[in-house]
Amino acid sequence: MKILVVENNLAAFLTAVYHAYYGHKDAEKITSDAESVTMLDYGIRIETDTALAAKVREGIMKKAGKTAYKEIADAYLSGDKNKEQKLFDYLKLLFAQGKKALTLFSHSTVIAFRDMLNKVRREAHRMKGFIRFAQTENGVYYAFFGPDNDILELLLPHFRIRFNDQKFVLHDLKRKKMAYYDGDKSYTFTAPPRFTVALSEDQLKFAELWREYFNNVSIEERHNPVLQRHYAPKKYRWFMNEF
Amino acid sequence: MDLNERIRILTEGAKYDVSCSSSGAGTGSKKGSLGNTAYCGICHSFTSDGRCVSLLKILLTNYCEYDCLYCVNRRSNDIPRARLSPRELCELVINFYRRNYIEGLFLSSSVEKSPNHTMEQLVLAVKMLREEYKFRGYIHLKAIPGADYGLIDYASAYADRMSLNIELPTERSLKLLAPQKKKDAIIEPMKMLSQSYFLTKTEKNSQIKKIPAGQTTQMIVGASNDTDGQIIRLTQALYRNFNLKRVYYSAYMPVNLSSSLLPALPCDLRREHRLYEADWLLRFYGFSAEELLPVERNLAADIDVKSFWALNNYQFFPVEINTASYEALLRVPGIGVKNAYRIIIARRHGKLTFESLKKMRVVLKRAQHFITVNGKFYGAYNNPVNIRKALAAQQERPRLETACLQTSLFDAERPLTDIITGEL
Repeated sequence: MKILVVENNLAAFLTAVYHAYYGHKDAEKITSDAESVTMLDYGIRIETDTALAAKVREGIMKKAGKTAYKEIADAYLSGDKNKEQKLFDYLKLLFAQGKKALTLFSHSTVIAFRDMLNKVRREAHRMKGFIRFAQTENGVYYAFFGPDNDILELLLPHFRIRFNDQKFVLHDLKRKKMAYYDGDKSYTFTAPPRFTVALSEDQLKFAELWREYFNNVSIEERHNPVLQRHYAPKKYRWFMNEF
Repeated sequence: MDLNERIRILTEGAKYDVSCSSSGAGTGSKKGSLGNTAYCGICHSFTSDGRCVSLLKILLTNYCEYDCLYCVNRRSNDIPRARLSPRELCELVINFYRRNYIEGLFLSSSVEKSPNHTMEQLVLAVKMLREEYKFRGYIHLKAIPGADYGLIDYASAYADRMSLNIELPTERSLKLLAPQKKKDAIIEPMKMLSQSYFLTKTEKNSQIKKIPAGQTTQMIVGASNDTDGQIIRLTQALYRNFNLKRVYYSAYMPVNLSSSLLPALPCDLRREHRLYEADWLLRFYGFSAEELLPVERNLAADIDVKSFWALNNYQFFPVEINTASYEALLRVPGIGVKNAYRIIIARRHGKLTFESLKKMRVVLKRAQHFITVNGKFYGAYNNPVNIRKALAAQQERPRLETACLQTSLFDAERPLTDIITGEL
């Protein structure tokens, strides 16, 4: 099988899509996981070309609209190992059928794409609530977390707007990525290998009061840990300080 | 008393208020101010009863003049009492908010001294939060029945949402169980707030926005012998006449053992669950209370309300998936708002099959009894009696709610100190 191997970013993926239409028309798969290419496959490494990526982006917007492109960009943030392939299949459908593909709700390819997109957006929405900031000595608020999908960039605008007068750091420990907002502009970068923060005195006090509140607001007679796990899965609790 | 202890006491007193939603406002942020609100609301955590924590839900004080029979904070109960100053409350809200623990504040109070005094304290606190601390996050504020309307109106300019708890479904029950609370003192301010909300929504350029997220209310179910038919009719009237955003129900749990006016047993949590199902059918599925059940009846415990209605109105079924209207699809058990819409759109591209419904995750174990797909019926039964049996068997999982109910019924060790609060 002919497989296009790309870097793990949206521009790289879109470049590969371009090549799959012009040049490597017989390519069946796109992946950023080089290890998934076996002895029996024919893997071709594709260099990222932002000009080609832009062409594909324009193509999608022309064919299916801006909202459709935003959906694809968001779905690309998925932690799904097969995300490139699912998106590739969906794009083929989109280029073949245009806007009609957006509402083929009973088509397996569309369902797979929408499931992936919904997971990304649902997790981003959840994290808007689950992320916990701690006040550091120098007044910057620091939060670490580790989502399934690469949603740091989706969260940043939300916190920038909400805490516009507050310097903060968002730290994705799984992907070793960081975002810093200085009260005016924000920056995203690779996290340093070692990173320590000194907490303010108030931090311990308010974290303790929060736990006091959390533990007392539950109604014992209605104890229902299954429901609790459904809404607040255990995989997120390590960065929520009330658990 | 230290702050930890007081927070514990004042949270204990506030937790029986069901509402914790932070939705409906969508206020933007402002440079130099703290916070905004999300129209859809955001849940920040979930407690061990599975309820969401979105707002800091707390009483300003639990010292109370009233002696409502069902309430944990009633005057004659010997429980620890506490108070928070407006300043302490503001510091707490701001520091929780900056750490992203909460979406905002749900502030309530017991009636200390008089309704007016209590309402003044509440206004003072939220005014300080908005003006001095420049807080633009969510505020849900309780209105105290019996306080001057002018005071409640004044407060509504600082809150995203307000609520007055209707407490009990009928005036008769209110007289019996909460004799110090008067129906008019609850209903009249609700009327006023509904007008403020209406003006805020319709006059886009009005200077003062009052309760952009509307108002809600709550009532206790199972403390009096009012029927589900009555409760659903009341709910419908509240939505239609007062533009309420939500009506909440709380299943009664006994705490003040001495009264012969109150039932000795807690209300089955399934009843509360069924009422919420009916509430959803009223708000999103185009049902009216009169269609759902007669006034003197209760909802069935063993099957969901939509199936209950469908079996009582079996003459409308089965409906054909490829031709039925949106309204007809919405009434099929197992098809929700999203899937009804998707079916309408998807079938334009070609006939849907039973397989495509499966892929779209229509709940076929319920829907199969009420639909045909291209003329073919896939259900196992075609008469309401057998279908009901099948549905009841499916829905008869060992539900946690029921298990929990049984422990509190039969576990004599367990102190019955907690109850439904009535601190309006």
